[in-house]
Amino acid sequence: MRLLHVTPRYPPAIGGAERYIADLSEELVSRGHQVDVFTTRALDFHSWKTELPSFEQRSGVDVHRFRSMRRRKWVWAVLHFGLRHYWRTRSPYYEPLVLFGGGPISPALFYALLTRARNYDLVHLNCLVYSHVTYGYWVGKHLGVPTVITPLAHAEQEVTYNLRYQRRAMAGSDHVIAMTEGERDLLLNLGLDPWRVTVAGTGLRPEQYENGLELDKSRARRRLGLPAGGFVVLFLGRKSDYKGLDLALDAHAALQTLHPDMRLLAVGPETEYSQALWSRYQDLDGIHVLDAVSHEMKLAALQACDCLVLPSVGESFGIVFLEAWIMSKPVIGARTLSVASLIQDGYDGLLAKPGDAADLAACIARLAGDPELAHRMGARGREKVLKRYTVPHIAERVEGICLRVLRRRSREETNSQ
Amino acid sequence: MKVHLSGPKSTALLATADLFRLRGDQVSESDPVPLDADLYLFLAGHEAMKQLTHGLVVLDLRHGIDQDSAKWAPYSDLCVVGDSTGRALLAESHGCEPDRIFVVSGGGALLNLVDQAYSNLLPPAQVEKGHEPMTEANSAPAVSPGAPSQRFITLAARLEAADRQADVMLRDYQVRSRLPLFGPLVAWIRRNLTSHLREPYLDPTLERQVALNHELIAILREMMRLEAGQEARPESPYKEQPHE
Repeated sequence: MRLLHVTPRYPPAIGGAERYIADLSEELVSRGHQVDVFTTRALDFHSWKTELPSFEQRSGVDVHRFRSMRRRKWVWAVLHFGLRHYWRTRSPYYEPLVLFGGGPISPALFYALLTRARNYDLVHLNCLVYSHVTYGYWVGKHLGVPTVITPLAHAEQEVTYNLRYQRRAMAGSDHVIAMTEGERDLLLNLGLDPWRVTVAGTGLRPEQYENGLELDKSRARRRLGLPAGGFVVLFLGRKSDYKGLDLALDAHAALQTLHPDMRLLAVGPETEYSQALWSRYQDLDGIHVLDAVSHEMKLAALQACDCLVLPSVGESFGIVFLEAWIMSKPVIGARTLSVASLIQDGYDGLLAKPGDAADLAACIARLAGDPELAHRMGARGREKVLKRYTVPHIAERVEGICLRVLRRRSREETNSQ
Repeated sequence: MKVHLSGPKSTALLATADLFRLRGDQVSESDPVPLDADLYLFLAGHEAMKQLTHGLVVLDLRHGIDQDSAKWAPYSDLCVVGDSTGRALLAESHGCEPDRIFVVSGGGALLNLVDQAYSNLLPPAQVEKGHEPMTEANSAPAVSPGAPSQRFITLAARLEAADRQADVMLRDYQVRSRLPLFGPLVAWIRRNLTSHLREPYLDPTLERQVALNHELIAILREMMRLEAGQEARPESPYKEQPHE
């Protein structure tokens, strides 16, 4: 098959969506498919600033990057104005403002799609919240090229899936790939055809975590400057407002009285939000903070911890849960639609009430008070990842979806003759 | 309709081939898998399933589900099993979407199914959503012995949240005006018109309130610490003997 992935950003840009598409592309190339990627030259979606080269070959994948319009302050203002009025009125007049403000606005990418999309058997559009999916879908429809959309819909953030033009793109595309059962249910509630919505999920390459497993826990703790004893809670992820770092800090503060030796290790790229947060919690004891780290340091953090906490309310999947599981660590997430589809509460992890620091603290206390239970949950999580969430498994599913789309198209053509 | 059947030579394969021949379909069984068939029925996994980009691909597992065959399910348009146990096995152990697994008992039902699927008119398989499985969290008591009570943790979390709100002063507030050119003048006038109330009365009163809030939080925290110490203290083995 000749596949074209259209995605807003691609590694070295960091993020779950970027990693998903890169892993998938590389795995499909290793299976003998021709895979090209069209993306922007941006590292950062806040500004869509052109920073990366226009062409690069990464592990057999041809990555074509296109310049996009900078998202300056006034573009953000247009987006906020459009969204505010769209949610109030649901009027389509505000949609162009959201489409424009969200970006990436890239005439070069649009032109490349228009002239080259026919060379591919199928176009896969990734991350519905951005505008490229809408114009990519339009081009696919115009040229008669099959399109598949991976929306990465966050149930708690309507802007990621429930604008009229987004619903139209999903309904008109050949197939929609959901990350979890919860996301699939959400999309079916929008009226999509069940035959055209399939759960694929995302996965890990377990071999990339073997080094971490070989590392001794006490050595990992020494490397991170953590004491050898005590219960260590890991928060791993970009420190954005919706990720729930404040809840983790509140829960940690609440547990200080009961577990004075408890440590909270917060690892991930800092943001303006997190900087403000640190000044608020500067008096809190037992906090260890690391900015963006290398893969080796991340493995050390995963090995050093006793459980992973990510009370985020904006996850379409939550790949860090898989990372903790592969290292046999129990996880605690927020009871949101997607995360609840991934974590089986009480079996391989715990779910806390979204936005409730007390419930989160109770979950942490439960694991801290019962190391046997924590160990069992971690082991079950690892088993789950190896059975269902590896990159080859996911690629197999996506490969199957693409074949089904092509076959369905061929049947439609035969039936219409 | 051109039908290609693939799988180990068996009575099941022959019976299925006869079923299609009887209704006048053109049936082939030999390898290699032809590329011009309309319907491909695989009784076992086959490498060709990864290359077929037209027609309808059905994985027929009515005669048994083994690991090798089941892993090909993602490459088929639909899977056919003999009973609901087979469906559950395929869905739970092999991650195949339940909507694409059809329970078929007789030959007529199979023909009907593939005809509907070929015309893209087949509704998804009806699947009953199972009950939430019993987990350790559901079955175990909410609090294990020796663990702090939920009420205690809730109170501690509320106390921390209250601590964040204890400082009620708007310390970053600045009087501003967006008026072009005259803005600074308007801000200066507003600042001076309110300062006689703010400086002698409002600010000191609110600062006293902030100090009181912090003091109360500190007292409550200390009380919680004492309470936690009592909860954690093991029962003394040397119980006082009653006086005789």
